[in-house]
Parts: sequence; C-alpha cells; structure tokens
Amino acid sequence: MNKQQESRKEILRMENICKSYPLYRGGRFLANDHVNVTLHQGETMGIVGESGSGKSTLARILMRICDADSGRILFHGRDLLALRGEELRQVRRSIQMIFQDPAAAFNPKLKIREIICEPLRNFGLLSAENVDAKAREMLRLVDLPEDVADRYPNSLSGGQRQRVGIARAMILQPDIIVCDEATSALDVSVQQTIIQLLKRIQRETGVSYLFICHDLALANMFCDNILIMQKGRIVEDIRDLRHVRTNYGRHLLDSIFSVELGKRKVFDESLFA
Amino acid sequence: MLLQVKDLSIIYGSGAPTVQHVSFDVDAGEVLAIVGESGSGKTTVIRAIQMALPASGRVAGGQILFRNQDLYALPKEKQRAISGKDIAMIFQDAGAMLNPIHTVGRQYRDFLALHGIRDEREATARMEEMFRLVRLDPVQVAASYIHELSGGMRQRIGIAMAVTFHPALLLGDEPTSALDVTTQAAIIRELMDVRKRMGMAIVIVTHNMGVASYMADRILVMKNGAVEEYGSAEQVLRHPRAAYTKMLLDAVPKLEDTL
Repeated sequence: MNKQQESRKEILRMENICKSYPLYRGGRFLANDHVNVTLHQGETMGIVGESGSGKSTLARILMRICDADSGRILFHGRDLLALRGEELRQVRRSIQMIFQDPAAAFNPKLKIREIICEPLRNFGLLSAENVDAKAREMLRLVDLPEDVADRYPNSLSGGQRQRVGIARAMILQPDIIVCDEATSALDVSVQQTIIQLLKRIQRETGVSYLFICHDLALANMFCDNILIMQKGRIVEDIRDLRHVRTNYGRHLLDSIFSVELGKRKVFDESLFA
Repeated sequence: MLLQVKDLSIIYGSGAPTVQHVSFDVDAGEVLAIVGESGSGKTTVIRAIQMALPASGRVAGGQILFRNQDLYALPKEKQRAISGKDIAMIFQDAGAMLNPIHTVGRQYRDFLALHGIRDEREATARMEEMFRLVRLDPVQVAASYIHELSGGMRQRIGIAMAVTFHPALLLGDEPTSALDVTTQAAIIRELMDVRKRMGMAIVIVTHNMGVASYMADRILVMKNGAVEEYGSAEQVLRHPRAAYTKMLLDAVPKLEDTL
C-alpha cells in the first residue's frame, strides 16, 4: 500500500465472513470461507477468481441480499449485520451496486429519468417536480445527452445502459459501489470508456469500489488492490498481479492469451492436469 | 481453396443488409478468426456458411464456395449432407443444444444414427473414441445429464460431437466466451490439438484478440456488417492499417496498463 492509501480512512471491514449452501446430494458448499476484506475511502478493491470461487456471494452478503452464516461487517465502525429495519434501510443508501446487465435490473416500463431518480424517491429525498432536473444532472455526470431522460431502457445501447446504471447508483452519493462484472458484457471499446468514467467519478467524489471481475488485465489496470479468491477463500492479496506469489495466482495468469505472445504462447502442462 | 466467401451480403427481413460485401478465403487446415464488436455481423457470416441463417435471413448477394461448390446453389438434400458433417459448428454453450432430460450418451447415439451409424457397438465405440479425444471420461460423461457437467466439459462435448465426422471445416461462435480463463486455455488448446490431428480448418468468431492472436493464421476485422481489415494475423495484429483495428487493439486491457 502506498503512502496515500495508508492515510486514507478505513470505511469497511469484513471479518471472517462464512457462507455455505446446502448441496443437492447432501453436505454443504462453502462459498465464503473466513473472508476478510478492508476497504478505504477512494480505494478500488478488485476481486478476481474463477466461477464459483465466492466473489458474487461476498458481494451479496455486503449488500445484505443474503445473510452470512458468521462473521462481522463493520461499516464506518458499525456492525452492518446487526442492523435491522429502518437503520438498515438508511445504511443501504451508502452501499450501492451496479450489475453485469443493467437491462435486467431496470423496469422496462419506466423512462430513464424515473429509473435514475427512483432510489432518491424511495428515500423521500426528491419531489416529483424535481425529478427531471435531477435526472439531467446525473446524465451529465455520466456523459450522456440530457434527452436520454425521455427514453426507455430498450432504446439504449449496452454502454449507455451501464452509464444509466452508474447514474442511478451515484444518485444517493454512496460511499461504496459494488461492481459485479459491470463491464463484462460490453465490447472492449465501450468497456474502456466505462472504466474511465468510473475512475473520473472516483476522483471527483471519493467513492470506493469493490470491483468483481474475471478479466485479470482489466482488474490490474483499474484496481489499487486485488484479492484472488479460490474455493471461497482469499488466497492472495496483491497490488500488482504481475507479482503473484501463489501457485493459483500464477495458474490464473498463465491462462491468459495475450495479443503480443500470440502463437508463441506455451502453456505449462500442469495447467491441464 | 477450401472455402471462398465472395462479396457476401445478407439481409434480415426487408431491412438494410446486415452483412455487406464480405470476402475472404480459408485454405484446408487454416485458422481464420473473425473479430469485431457486437452487431458487427460476425455471427451472421458463420451462420451463413453453416447454412443456418434464421428464417428471416437470406443471402442477398455474393457466393459461398465450399470446395468450389456454391453452397446456396445446391439442392436442399446436398446442403444437409454437408452441414453438420463436412462443415460443423460449436457454440458458446454447447450444453444449450442438448436435451436436459436425456443422457448425453443417448443423444450422441441419436446424432450418430441420424448420420447413418446405427449399429449399437459401432456407435458406442465411436462416441467413446471422440470423448477420449477431448479428454473426457467416456463412460461417466455418456451416463450424465447435461446440467451435471461443468462449462468446460460441455464445450468438450460440443467439440467431440462437432468433429465426429472429421469435418473439413469447423466453425466456432465464441466457443470459449462463457468460460473461466483457465478453462478457456484448456479448450482452445484442445481445439488446436484436434485441428492438428484431423487437419481441419477453423473459422472462429471471437471478441478476444488474445485468442485470435494465438489461433489464427488470418484475421478478418468486421464493423457494422462490413470488412474493416483482412490479412495475415501478423499483419493485422502488429501492423494494423485500419483505424478501427488499432482502436480495438488499444482497448484490450493489458496487465501492465495503468489508467
């Protein structure tokens, strides 16, 4: 961690998070096995790993979409898992999420202005007559034309929809945004512009990101720190993936096809054992 | 030349052409990668080669020559004899083409029977040979239902079925896009290995420039239904001429990149 990050304020600490699911044939599947994550203000923490390694489960526990079996989540020093009712509802404002497919997360019958402002309206923080102005302000933040406010989600491209998803997440001025494969369904050129947008918003607002991603190069470019997950555990916590120390981290990196190496890429036989 | 696509245009319904004036060649044993972003017409082109355009789609201009025969000038039964046998295809999720309520083995036997292999013992021997070729446990996989198998195993089944009749041309539509990097590496290597042993040509649609760089002899870059660039992999990747190709290559995240 560099000097700047050391001085940053810790806002989130997930401690010994465990979560298991019952298996069809009996026994339990350990999706999160004593997971620890610490997040500072303005920091981007990446989580990489294969399907089933527990990345999304961790995000869902943080969002309180599902409950952990055990462990603690300290958010600004308060135990998030102990909160109920109105207290929990108020804390939810501070932790928002953007999804892989915003189209599936939006109500197709609402106009973009309503989709963007819905979170504020739900908290009673925006009157109906101010919806249009607020939506336009948020659209400017995410570099979309203001007249997008009048449109429906199905008339937008994937990249535009993801910008709307970001606007909707940002409208509550959260401390943390959880991005679960938020750019994975986008073309590379669009992905690049969304990443740049997320970075700019972070500089302007100091928001922190928990960035779940299976693209190692993308995570390495965007994140300050990266956690490598395997079978529910964090096996490595690293700043730059090029310096992985674990066999599993090496294994993941060795699997990448690079444009530069092309046909000269040689795979270690142990990858396929 | 095994495959020659000449000035191909494809129209869906009565709209503007989705694919316009696309031309390329694939020699026996060669690998061509078609790259480009969503909506560029990549999938439409290989579906046309497979003679499996959706009902609303039709070839509006140009030709697809396979072993010097114009595929779309052939009678239906000749087309059917080629499609699936000489030209085979693997999809993004090979599991989706299989019926969830029958075992993989039963469906494989049905597929063999459809193409004339009806003898029980011969069918089993062929199926097991193909499963072993893609490093699957033949007995276990044959007895499984598709949902019991991992993404990597499903793609291996897809490859095994596609290459059963030693096609001269294998088409792949993003065959590893839904897989983890580790599984992707294994499947791509499997494909190249099978290609070498069978001497087949591959046309693969991918948005992964790294995969294209590893596999392809030639690369076709598409955008909005038209060809932006076409050349040897070496030329397209290392000395791209089209601004669009350069932009695509620049947008690919690299481990050493910083924002």
